[in-house]
Amino acid sequence: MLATVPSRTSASRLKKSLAAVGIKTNITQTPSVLTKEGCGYSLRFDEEFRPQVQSAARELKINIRAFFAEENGGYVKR
Amino acid sequence: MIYLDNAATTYPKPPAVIKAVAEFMESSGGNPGRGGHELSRRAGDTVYCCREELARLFNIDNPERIAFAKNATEALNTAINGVIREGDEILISAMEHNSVLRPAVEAERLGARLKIVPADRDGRVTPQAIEPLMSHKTKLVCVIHASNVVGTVNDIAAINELVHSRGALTLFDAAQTAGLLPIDASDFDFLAFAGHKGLYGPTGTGGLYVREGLTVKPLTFGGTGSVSESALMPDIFPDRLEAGTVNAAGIAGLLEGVRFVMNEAPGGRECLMARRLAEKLGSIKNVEILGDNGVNVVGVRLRGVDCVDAAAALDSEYGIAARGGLHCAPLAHRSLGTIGAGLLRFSTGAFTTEDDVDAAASALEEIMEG
Repeated sequence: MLATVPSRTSASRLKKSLAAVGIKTNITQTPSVLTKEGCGYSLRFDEEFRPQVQSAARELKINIRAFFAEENGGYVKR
Repeated sequence: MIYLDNAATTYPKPPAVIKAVAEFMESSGGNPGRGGHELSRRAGDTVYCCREELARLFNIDNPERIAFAKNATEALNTAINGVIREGDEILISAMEHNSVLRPAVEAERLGARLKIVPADRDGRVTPQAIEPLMSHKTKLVCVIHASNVVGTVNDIAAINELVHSRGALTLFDAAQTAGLLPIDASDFDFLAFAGHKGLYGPTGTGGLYVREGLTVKPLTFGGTGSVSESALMPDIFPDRLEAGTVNAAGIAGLLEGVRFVMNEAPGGRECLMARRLAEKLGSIKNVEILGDNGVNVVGVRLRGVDCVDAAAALDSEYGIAARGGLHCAPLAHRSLGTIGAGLLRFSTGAFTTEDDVDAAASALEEIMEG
Protein backbone atom coordinates (compact mmCIF):
# COMPACT_ATOMS: atom_id res chain seq x y z
CA MET A 1 0.00 0.00 0.00
CA LEU A 2 1.12 3.57 -0.64
CA ALA A 3 0.61 6.65 1.52
CA THR A 4 1.33 9.88 -0.34
CA VAL A 5 3.06 12.45 1.84
CA PRO A 6 3.91 16.16 1.41
CA SER A 7 7.67 15.91 0.95
CA ARG A 8 10.77 13.73 0.88
CA THR A 9 11.59 15.01 4.35
CA SER A 10 8.21 14.14 5.80
CA ALA A 11 8.55 10.68 4.20
CA SER A 12 11.87 10.19 6.00
CA ARG A 13 10.44 11.40 9.26
CA LEU A 14 7.46 9.06 9.07
CA LYS A 15 9.63 6.14 7.97
CA LYS A 16 11.99 6.59 10.94
CA SER A 17 9.13 6.89 13.39
CA LEU A 18 7.58 3.65 12.13
CA ALA A 19 10.96 1.88 12.07
CA ALA A 20 11.32 2.71 15.75
CA VAL A 21 8.26 0.55 16.47
CA GLY A 22 9.38 -2.25 14.13
CA ILE A 23 7.34 -1.38 11.04
CA LYS A 24 9.27 -1.56 7.80
CA THR A 25 8.40 0.94 5.08
CA ASN A 26 10.08 2.14 1.92
CA ILE A 27 10.22 5.62 0.45
CA THR A 28 9.25 5.69 -3.18
CA GLN A 29 8.47 8.32 -5.78
CA THR A 30 4.72 8.72 -6.09
CA PRO A 31 3.58 7.17 -9.39
CA SER A 32 2.54 9.90 -11.83
CA VAL A 33 -0.99 8.55 -12.15
CA LEU A 34 -1.59 9.21 -8.47
CA THR A 35 -0.65 12.85 -8.32
CA LYS A 36 -1.92 15.96 -10.05
CA GLU A 37 0.90 18.04 -8.57
CA GLY A 38 3.86 16.44 -10.31
CA CYS A 39 6.80 14.94 -8.42
CA GLY A 40 6.18 13.71 -4.93
CA TYR A 41 6.99 10.96 -2.49
CA SER A 42 5.09 8.13 -0.84
CA LEU A 43 5.67 5.51 1.79
CA ARG A 44 5.13 1.87 0.75
CA PHE A 45 4.14 -0.63 3.45
CA ASP A 46 2.04 -3.71 4.15
CA GLU A 47 -1.64 -2.80 4.24
CA GLU A 48 -2.04 -4.40 7.69
CA PHE A 49 0.02 -1.51 9.13
CA ARG A 50 -2.25 1.25 7.86
CA PRO A 51 -3.62 2.08 11.35
CA GLN A 52 -0.09 2.46 12.71
CA VAL A 53 0.94 4.60 9.74
CA GLN A 54 -2.10 6.84 10.26
CA SER A 55 -1.45 7.08 13.95
CA ALA A 56 2.24 7.96 13.50
CA ALA A 57 1.38 10.57 10.87
CA ARG A 58 -1.19 12.14 13.20
CA GLU A 59 1.33 12.28 16.00
CA LEU A 60 3.96 13.90 13.75
CA LYS A 61 1.36 16.23 12.19
CA ILE A 62 2.19 14.90 8.74
CA ASN A 63 -0.71 15.24 6.37
CA ILE A 64 -1.13 11.98 4.43
CA ARG A 65 -2.81 13.04 1.23
CA ALA A 66 -4.21 9.66 0.27
CA PHE A 67 -3.81 5.88 0.65
CA PHE A 68 -3.66 3.66 -2.42
CA ALA A 69 -3.80 -0.13 -2.52
CA GLU A 70 -1.85 -1.85 -5.27
CA GLU A 71 -4.25 -4.12 -7.15
CA ASN A 72 -4.09 -5.83 -10.54
CA GLY A 73 -1.07 -3.85 -11.62
CA GLY A 74 -2.76 -0.55 -10.79
CA TYR A 75 -3.74 1.58 -7.80
CA VAL A 76 -7.05 1.93 -5.97
CA LYS A 77 -7.72 4.75 -3.56
CA ARG A 78 -8.61 3.50 -0.10
CA MET B 1 50.74 25.91 11.54
CA ILE B 2 48.93 26.78 14.75
CA TYR B 3 45.40 27.52 13.69
CA LEU B 4 43.62 30.07 15.86
CA ASP B 5 41.05 31.34 13.36
CA ASN B 6 38.29 28.88 14.20
CA ALA B 7 35.68 31.65 14.36
CA ALA B 8 36.15 32.03 10.59
CA THR B 9 35.89 28.30 10.03
CA THR B 10 37.06 25.42 12.17
CA TYR B 11 40.20 23.58 11.17
CA PRO B 12 41.13 20.81 11.19
CA LYS B 13 37.86 18.95 10.80
CA PRO B 14 37.35 15.70 12.69
CA PRO B 15 38.50 12.68 10.60
CA ALA B 16 34.94 11.30 10.57
CA VAL B 17 33.77 14.47 8.76
CA ILE B 18 36.38 14.12 6.03
CA LYS B 19 35.64 10.41 5.68
CA ALA B 20 31.89 11.01 5.42
CA VAL B 21 32.31 13.55 2.60
CA ALA B 22 34.62 11.21 0.69
CA GLU B 23 32.33 8.21 1.22
CA PHE B 24 29.30 10.19 0.10
CA MET B 25 31.07 11.22 -3.10
CA GLU B 26 32.27 7.67 -3.70
CA SER B 27 29.23 5.59 -2.88
CA SER B 28 26.01 7.51 -2.32
CA GLY B 29 26.37 10.59 -4.43
CA GLY B 30 22.83 10.77 -5.76
CA ASN B 31 20.63 13.85 -5.58
CA PRO B 32 18.53 13.82 -2.39
CA GLY B 33 14.83 14.30 -3.00
CA ARG B 34 15.14 13.96 -6.74
CA GLY B 35 13.97 10.66 -8.18
CA GLY B 36 13.44 7.35 -6.43
CA HIS B 37 16.52 5.28 -7.22
CA GLU B 38 18.90 3.77 -4.69
CA LEU B 39 21.53 6.53 -4.77
CA SER B 40 18.94 9.27 -4.47
CA ARG B 41 17.34 7.42 -1.55
CA ARG B 42 20.67 7.01 0.21
CA ALA B 43 21.51 10.67 -0.26
CA GLY B 44 18.04 11.65 0.98
CA ASP B 45 18.46 9.49 4.07
CA THR B 46 21.81 11.12 4.87
CA VAL B 47 20.38 14.61 4.52
CA TYR B 48 17.40 13.72 6.68
CA CYS B 49 19.64 12.18 9.37
CA CYS B 50 21.55 15.44 9.55
CA ARG B 51 18.31 17.43 9.88
CA GLU B 52 17.25 15.12 12.68
CA GLU B 53 20.54 15.41 14.58
CA LEU B 54 20.42 19.20 14.29
CA ALA B 55 16.85 19.18 15.61
CA ARG B 56 18.05 17.12 18.58
CA LEU B 57 20.95 19.51 19.18
CA PHE B 58 18.69 22.57 19.18
CA ASN B 59 15.74 20.89 20.96
CA ILE B 60 13.45 21.32 17.96
CA ASP B 61 10.49 18.92 17.70
CA ASN B 62 10.12 18.87 13.95
CA PRO B 63 13.26 18.40 11.78
CA GLU B 64 11.23 19.51 8.74
CA ARG B 65 11.49 23.08 10.05
CA ILE B 66 15.26 23.14 9.49
CA ALA B 67 16.21 24.30 6.01
CA PHE B 68 19.78 23.91 4.84
CA ALA B 69 21.63 26.93 3.51
CA LYS B 70 25.14 27.46 2.26
CA ASN B 71 26.11 29.39 5.41
CA ALA B 72 24.67 31.45 8.25
CA THR B 73 24.65 34.54 6.01
CA GLU B 74 22.26 32.93 3.56
CA ALA B 75 20.07 31.74 6.43
CA LEU B 76 19.94 35.24 7.97
CA ASN B 77 19.14 36.80 4.61
CA THR B 78 16.35 34.29 4.13
CA ALA B 79 14.77 35.19 7.46
CA ILE B 80 15.10 38.97 7.07
CA ASN B 81 14.00 39.11 3.45
CA GLY B 82 11.37 36.50 4.16
CA VAL B 83 9.39 38.49 6.71
CA ILE B 84 10.21 42.19 6.46
CA ARG B 85 7.98 44.28 4.20
CA GLU B 86 7.63 47.98 3.48
CA GLY B 87 6.47 49.80 6.60
CA ASP B 88 7.69 47.11 9.00
CA GLU B 89 10.20 47.88 11.68
CA ILE B 90 13.30 45.77 12.16
CA LEU B 91 15.57 45.99 15.19
CA ILE B 92 19.11 44.69 15.03
CA SER B 93 21.76 44.84 17.72
CA ALA B 94 24.84 47.03 17.50
CA MET B 95 26.98 43.87 17.58
CA GLU B 96 25.65 42.37 14.35
CA HIS B 97 27.80 41.05 11.56
CA ASN B 98 27.37 42.37 8.03
CA SER B 99 25.31 39.23 7.38
CA VAL B 100 22.53 40.99 9.31
CA LEU B 101 23.44 44.64 8.84
CA ARG B 102 23.49 44.53 5.04
CA PRO B 103 20.14 42.78 4.47
CA ALA B 104 18.62 45.02 7.17
CA VAL B 105 19.92 48.16 5.45
CA GLU B 106 18.62 46.83 2.15
CA ALA B 107 15.22 46.31 3.78
CA GLU B 108 15.38 49.90 5.00
CA ARG B 109 16.19 51.09 1.51
CA LEU B 110 13.03 49.30 0.32
CA GLY B 111 10.81 51.05 2.87
CA ALA B 112 11.26 49.28 6.21
CA ARG B 113 12.38 51.14 9.32
CA LEU B 114 15.69 50.04 10.83
CA LYS B 115 16.61 50.62 14.46
CA ILE B 116 19.92 49.70 16.07
CA VAL B 117 19.89 48.43 19.66
CA PRO B 118 22.94 49.66 21.58
CA ALA B 119 25.31 47.28 23.34
CA ASP B 120 27.23 47.83 26.57
CA ARG B 121 31.01 48.27 26.70
CA ASP B 122 31.58 44.48 26.54
CA GLY B 123 29.34 44.21 23.50
CA ARG B 124 26.39 42.77 25.43
CA VAL B 125 22.81 43.39 24.28
CA THR B 126 20.11 43.21 26.94
CA PRO B 127 16.31 43.06 26.94
CA GLN B 128 16.40 46.40 28.77
CA ALA B 129 18.17 47.96 25.80
CA ILE B 130 15.72 46.46 23.31
CA GLU B 131 12.43 47.25 25.04
CA PRO B 132 12.38 51.07 24.66
CA LEU B 133 13.04 50.78 20.92
CA MET B 134 10.15 48.43 20.23
CA SER B 135 6.87 49.74 18.84
CA HIS B 136 3.65 48.24 17.53
CA LYS B 137 5.30 48.20 14.10
CA THR B 138 8.29 46.08 15.21
CA LYS B 139 8.17 42.91 13.18
CA LEU B 140 11.56 41.31 13.81
CA VAL B 141 14.36 41.62 16.36
CA CYS B 142 17.76 40.19 15.31
CA VAL B 143 20.44 39.53 17.89
CA ILE B 144 23.74 37.72 17.61
CA HIS B 145 24.12 34.94 20.19
CA ALA B 146 27.84 35.58 20.69
CA SER B 147 29.92 38.30 19.13
CA ASN B 148 32.24 37.13 16.38
CA VAL B 149 34.59 39.97 17.38
CA VAL B 150 34.96 39.63 21.15
CA GLY B 151 32.96 36.52 22.08
CA THR B 152 30.49 38.23 24.42
CA VAL B 153 27.44 36.00 24.84
CA ASN B 154 23.92 37.40 24.89
CA ASP B 155 21.05 35.96 26.94
CA ILE B 156 18.91 35.08 23.96
CA ALA B 157 16.30 33.23 26.03
CA ALA B 158 15.58 36.43 27.98
CA ILE B 159 15.56 38.50 24.78
CA ASN B 160 13.19 35.99 23.17
CA GLU B 161 10.79 36.30 26.10
CA LEU B 162 10.79 40.10 25.96
CA VAL B 163 10.33 40.28 22.19
CA HIS B 164 7.48 37.75 22.23
CA SER B 165 5.77 39.62 25.06
CA ARG B 166 5.71 42.64 22.73
CA GLY B 167 4.33 40.63 19.81
CA ALA B 168 7.36 40.60 17.49
CA LEU B 169 9.44 37.80 16.00
CA THR B 170 12.99 36.81 17.00
CA LEU B 171 15.93 35.93 14.79
CA PHE B 172 19.07 34.73 16.54
CA ASP B 173 22.42 34.40 14.83
CA ALA B 174 24.18 31.34 16.21
CA ALA B 175 27.02 31.40 13.68
CA GLN B 176 29.58 31.53 16.50
CA THR B 177 27.78 29.40 19.06
CA ALA B 178 26.09 26.42 17.39
CA GLY B 179 28.02 23.43 18.67
CA LEU B 180 29.85 25.46 21.30
CA LEU B 181 27.06 26.54 23.64
CA PRO B 182 23.80 24.76 24.46
CA ILE B 183 20.93 26.24 22.44
CA ASP B 184 17.26 25.54 23.07
CA ALA B 185 15.52 26.97 20.02
CA SER B 186 12.13 25.42 20.78
CA ASP B 187 10.58 28.81 21.56
CA PHE B 188 12.51 30.91 19.02
CA ASP B 189 11.04 32.06 15.72
CA PHE B 190 14.24 31.82 13.68
CA LEU B 191 17.69 30.45 14.43
CA ALA B 192 20.44 30.79 11.83
CA PHE B 193 23.57 28.67 12.16
CA ALA B 194 26.79 27.93 10.33
CA GLY B 195 27.68 24.31 9.73
CA HIS B 196 31.38 24.88 9.20
CA LYS B 197 32.28 26.56 12.48
CA GLY B 198 31.43 25.04 15.87
CA LEU B 199 29.57 22.18 14.22
CA TYR B 200 32.78 21.12 12.41
CA GLY B 201 31.12 20.48 9.05
CA PRO B 202 32.59 21.46 5.67
CA THR B 203 32.40 25.01 4.34
CA GLY B 204 29.25 25.58 2.31
CA THR B 205 26.98 24.28 5.08
CA GLY B 206 24.58 26.09 7.38
CA GLY B 207 20.89 26.39 7.99
CA LEU B 208 17.82 28.15 9.26
CA TYR B 209 15.26 26.93 11.79
CA VAL B 210 11.81 28.40 11.24
CA ARG B 211 9.16 27.94 13.92
CA GLU B 212 6.12 25.88 13.00
CA GLY B 213 3.31 28.06 11.66
CA LEU B 214 5.51 30.85 10.30
CA THR B 215 5.39 31.58 6.61
CA VAL B 216 8.49 32.94 4.95
CA LYS B 217 9.01 34.23 1.46
CA PRO B 218 11.84 32.20 -0.08
CA LEU B 219 15.12 33.83 -1.02
CA THR B 220 15.60 31.50 -3.97
CA PHE B 221 12.97 30.03 -6.27
CA GLY B 222 13.29 26.83 -8.25
CA GLY B 223 13.04 23.06 -8.25
CA THR B 224 12.36 21.23 -5.00
CA GLY B 225 11.56 17.70 -6.18
CA SER B 226 7.99 18.24 -4.96
CA VAL B 227 4.72 19.71 -6.29
CA SER B 228 6.49 20.11 -9.64
CA GLU B 229 3.42 21.01 -11.67
CA SER B 230 2.96 24.21 -9.73
CA ALA B 231 4.83 27.32 -10.86
CA LEU B 232 4.79 28.53 -7.26
CA MET B 233 7.14 27.48 -4.50
CA PRO B 234 5.51 24.85 -2.26
CA ASP B 235 4.33 25.88 1.21
CA ILE B 236 5.79 22.76 2.78
CA PHE B 237 9.03 22.89 4.73
CA PRO B 238 11.90 22.53 4.20
CA ASP B 239 11.18 22.46 0.44
CA ARG B 240 9.95 26.06 0.47
CA LEU B 241 13.43 27.30 1.44
CA GLU B 242 15.52 24.71 -0.41
CA ALA B 243 15.22 25.46 -4.12
CA GLY B 244 17.85 23.62 -6.12
CA THR B 245 20.09 20.77 -5.04
CA VAL B 246 21.35 21.01 -1.48
CA ASN B 247 25.04 20.52 -0.66
CA ALA B 248 24.52 16.84 0.06
CA ALA B 249 28.23 15.92 0.30
CA GLY B 250 28.75 18.81 2.69
CA ILE B 251 25.69 17.81 4.69
CA ALA B 252 27.05 14.25 4.94
CA GLY B 253 30.13 15.79 6.55
CA LEU B 254 28.04 18.09 8.71
CA LEU B 255 26.13 15.08 10.04
CA GLU B 256 29.39 13.66 11.39
CA GLY B 257 30.38 17.09 12.68
CA VAL B 258 27.15 17.34 14.68
CA ARG B 259 27.71 13.82 16.03
CA PHE B 260 31.25 14.81 16.99
CA VAL B 261 29.95 17.81 18.90
CA MET B 262 27.21 15.81 20.61
CA ASN B 263 29.63 13.09 21.67
CA GLU B 264 32.05 15.57 23.21
CA ALA B 265 31.10 18.08 25.87
CA PRO B 266 29.94 20.80 23.41
CA GLY B 267 32.37 23.69 23.37
CA GLY B 268 34.18 22.57 26.48
CA ARG B 269 37.70 22.44 25.09
CA GLU B 270 37.28 25.48 22.83
CA CYS B 271 36.08 27.68 25.71
CA LEU B 272 38.70 26.35 28.13
CA MET B 273 41.50 27.13 25.69
CA ALA B 274 40.03 30.57 24.97
CA ARG B 275 39.99 31.41 28.68
CA ARG B 276 43.62 30.28 29.01
CA LEU B 277 44.56 32.40 26.02
CA ALA B 278 42.72 35.45 27.35
CA GLU B 279 44.54 35.15 30.68
CA LYS B 280 47.93 34.98 28.99
CA LEU B 281 47.28 37.72 26.44
CA GLY B 282 45.84 39.98 29.13
CA SER B 283 49.16 40.05 30.92
CA ILE B 284 51.07 41.38 27.89
CA LYS B 285 51.95 45.08 27.94
CA ASN B 286 49.86 47.21 25.53
CA VAL B 287 47.43 44.37 24.88
CA GLU B 288 43.86 44.87 26.08
CA ILE B 289 41.25 42.12 26.10
CA LEU B 290 37.81 43.30 25.04
CA GLY B 291 34.48 41.63 25.76
CA ASP B 292 33.85 38.71 28.07
CA ASN B 293 35.22 35.89 25.86
CA GLY B 294 32.28 33.66 26.78
CA VAL B 295 32.80 31.46 23.77
CA ASN B 296 35.91 30.51 21.74
CA VAL B 297 36.77 34.08 20.66
CA VAL B 298 39.39 36.37 22.20
CA GLY B 299 39.54 39.88 20.72
CA VAL B 300 42.47 42.09 21.69
CA ARG B 301 43.20 45.76 21.12
CA LEU B 302 46.88 46.47 20.51
CA ARG B 303 48.52 49.76 21.41
CA GLY B 304 51.41 50.80 19.18
CA VAL B 305 51.13 47.91 16.71
CA ASP B 306 48.68 47.65 13.83
CA CYS B 307 46.46 44.59 14.32
CA VAL B 308 46.72 43.52 10.66
CA ASP B 309 50.51 43.81 10.81
CA ALA B 310 50.52 41.75 13.99
CA ALA B 311 48.38 39.06 12.30
CA ALA B 312 50.75 39.06 9.32
CA ALA B 313 53.78 38.69 11.62
CA LEU B 314 52.11 35.86 13.52
CA ASP B 315 51.54 34.11 10.21
CA SER B 316 54.88 34.70 8.52
CA GLU B 317 57.25 34.56 11.48
CA TYR B 318 55.54 32.12 13.84
CA GLY B 319 53.19 30.06 11.67
CA ILE B 320 50.16 31.15 13.69
CA ALA B 321 46.82 31.89 12.02
CA ALA B 322 44.84 34.70 13.66
CA ARG B 323 42.76 37.48 12.13
CA GLY B 324 43.23 41.23 12.31
CA GLY B 325 40.83 43.90 11.03
CA LEU B 326 37.09 44.43 11.29
CA HIS B 327 35.91 40.80 10.95
CA CYS B 328 33.03 41.84 8.65
CA ALA B 329 31.44 43.52 11.65
CA PRO B 330 31.94 47.30 11.41
CA LEU B 331 28.83 47.91 13.48
CA ALA B 332 30.30 45.88 16.36
CA HIS B 333 33.63 47.67 16.08
CA ARG B 334 31.87 51.02 16.20
CA SER B 335 30.12 49.89 19.32
CA LEU B 336 33.36 48.70 20.93
CA GLY B 337 35.24 51.85 19.90
CA THR B 338 37.65 49.95 17.65
CA ILE B 339 36.30 50.98 14.23
CA GLY B 340 39.47 52.79 13.15
CA ALA B 341 42.18 50.39 14.24
CA GLY B 342 40.27 47.13 14.40
CA LEU B 343 41.19 44.20 16.63
CA LEU B 344 43.34 41.12 16.57
CA ARG B 345 41.15 38.08 17.01
CA PHE B 346 42.20 34.64 18.15
CA SER B 347 39.69 31.81 18.15
CA THR B 348 40.22 28.31 19.46
CA GLY B 349 38.90 24.95 18.27
CA ALA B 350 38.38 21.42 19.52
CA PHE B 351 41.95 20.52 18.57
CA THR B 352 43.68 23.56 20.09
CA THR B 353 46.26 22.52 22.70
CA GLU B 354 47.75 24.28 25.71
CA ASP B 355 51.03 24.44 23.76
CA ASP B 356 49.27 26.22 20.88
CA VAL B 357 47.83 28.79 23.24
CA ASP B 358 51.13 29.35 25.04
CA ALA B 359 53.01 29.69 21.74
CA ALA B 360 50.52 32.28 20.47
CA ALA B 361 50.82 34.33 23.67
CA SER B 362 54.64 34.22 23.54
CA ALA B 363 54.65 35.18 19.88
CA LEU B 364 52.38 38.18 20.43
CA GLU B 365 54.49 39.28 23.38
CA GLU B 366 57.58 39.28 21.16
CA ILE B 367 55.77 41.20 18.43
CA MET B 368 54.57 43.80 20.93
CA GLU B 369 58.08 44.20 22.28
CA GLY B 370 59.18 44.94 18.70
